[in-house]
Amino acid sequence: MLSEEILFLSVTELSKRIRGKQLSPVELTESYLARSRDLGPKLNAYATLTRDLAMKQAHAAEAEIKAGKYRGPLHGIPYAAKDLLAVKGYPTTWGARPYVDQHFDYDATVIRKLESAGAVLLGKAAMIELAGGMGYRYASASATGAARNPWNTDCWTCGSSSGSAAITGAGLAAFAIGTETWGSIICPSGFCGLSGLRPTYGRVSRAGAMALSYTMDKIGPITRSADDCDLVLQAISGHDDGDLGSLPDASAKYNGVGEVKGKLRIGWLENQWKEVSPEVEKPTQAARQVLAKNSSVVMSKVSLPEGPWEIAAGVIISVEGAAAFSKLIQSGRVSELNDPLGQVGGYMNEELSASDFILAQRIRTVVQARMDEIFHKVDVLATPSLPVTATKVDANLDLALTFADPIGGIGNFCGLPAISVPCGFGDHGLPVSLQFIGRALDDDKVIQAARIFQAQTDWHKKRPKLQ
Amino acid sequence: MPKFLLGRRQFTLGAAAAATAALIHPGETLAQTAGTLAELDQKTRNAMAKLTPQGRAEAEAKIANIFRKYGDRLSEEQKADIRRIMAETQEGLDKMRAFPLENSDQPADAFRAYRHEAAPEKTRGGKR
Repeated sequence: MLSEEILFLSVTELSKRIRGKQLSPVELTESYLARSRDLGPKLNAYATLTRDLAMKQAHAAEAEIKAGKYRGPLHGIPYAAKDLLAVKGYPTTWGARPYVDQHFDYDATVIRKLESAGAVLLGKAAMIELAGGMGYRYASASATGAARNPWNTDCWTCGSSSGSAAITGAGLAAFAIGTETWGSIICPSGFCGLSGLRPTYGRVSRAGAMALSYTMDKIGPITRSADDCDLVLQAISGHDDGDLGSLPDASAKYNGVGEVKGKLRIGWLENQWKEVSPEVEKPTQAARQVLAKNSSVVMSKVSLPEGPWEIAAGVIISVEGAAAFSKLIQSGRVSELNDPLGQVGGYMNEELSASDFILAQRIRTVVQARMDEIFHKVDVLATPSLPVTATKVDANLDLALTFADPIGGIGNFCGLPAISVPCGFGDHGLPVSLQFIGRALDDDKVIQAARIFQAQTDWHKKRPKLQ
Repeated sequence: MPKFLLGRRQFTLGAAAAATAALIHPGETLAQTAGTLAELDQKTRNAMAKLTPQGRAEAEAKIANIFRKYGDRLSEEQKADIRRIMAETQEGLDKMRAFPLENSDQPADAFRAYRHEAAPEKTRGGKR
């Protein structure tokens, strides 16, 4: 069993050791599997461990690397994938009891791309049922129970990529794949002190992934550093005919953060959170100062445009979700979902009209243009990822997380890239995080901003004490 | 955690409902709810009072339609929850409809004519 020192290393560090033959992919995989078996159930982190597949892939990686066939920085790196990505031979439950026996006879494109890169799939990460598509009011809205935060197991990880964050945060894998329709990568990364990237819409294929919102679903990595997000996005991006939302290859393919030309213009959002708790305000203001003092950064203040963006984004997700799960809703099997809101949410979503849906899509065009204007003045926007630290695992989320999230709504509505990175701790030792949001296809700039911050700080290297 | 169900004020995706009394499992009632039936009805009345007559009529028609289609599956607590959420979300819809748009403002998902030169590929289930 490898030490925690090794298991909490970034992908970047692990891959250097694997390439240098100082670290065995087989030993690394066995150690993560053993840790996942021991700690995973305490955190409700996994839906399924794919042990046989993992060991097969790890042995293959080790043999290839020994033979001099090194595929790249993910070769021999163990990871977990949110349980809404199809993996042949294993259940894909979408986190929901009506689908616990669901199997697909193919792999999702993201799974295939990571296999081609030589990565090792350890298991399917637990998640909020249907990625929250029918609504949810409690962290227990999952077939596997509430995911627990590695920094304090009385607290939640956030969702819907709850298991992906628990796994990466607890050192059960080197990284995990999550998805975001609205907040499902940024919030779990924020609550668990991780570096999570929501790529530009259309950059990562969703073929073989559960559809919740056809025009808002995105797939991205939850990792331990911005550098790791950069590596994983390079592996999973690219055009795919299997996804109608996929960008042409020239746009979809991400080639990594290039050479930095000039200063990075960061706009601090003045009107994102109406209220930020003092325990979040202090570390995020300190982080702002770190950025302001950096000679490669120019800071300014920016305000988001006013408008019904969040309402319109909600209409889109609700209508697309009602269509995506119409059979489940009409069959009445939504009653098998864990969450009281999830049991009735679909019935209400069906009542939204087609004209309201089209109206929301027209408003979407307007806000896309207004946001693009802002990105002529700055390269990225910055703001606390969340105005609070992690909520209690049994909290009523209607009461605990009752704040507007304009940039979450706008960013997802417009398909903009964003990254969350840790920037300190609150009063009770829970992580506090900062997010950077960029122009469409400027994934490199949001990663660049995060790298600049992480080059000056070591919050991303902190790890929780787990028994 | 996305914020669905009509994009209400809450951060929680799907937690568009500001609380309610819906059943999860037998024996877990009030601990999982945010109010009694009477409290939920009061919240519904408060939300309805903020709406225009047209908005109120629309919300009531939608509630009636849900109950017409699915009423036999719903408990009284769930019905109260639905009434409250539908009343509270109507205000947001009215605000969205008030946003100034020109006739020429097109929707974001514009239709494109399709033509594929190669022979059609057989697709598997779940693939698009």
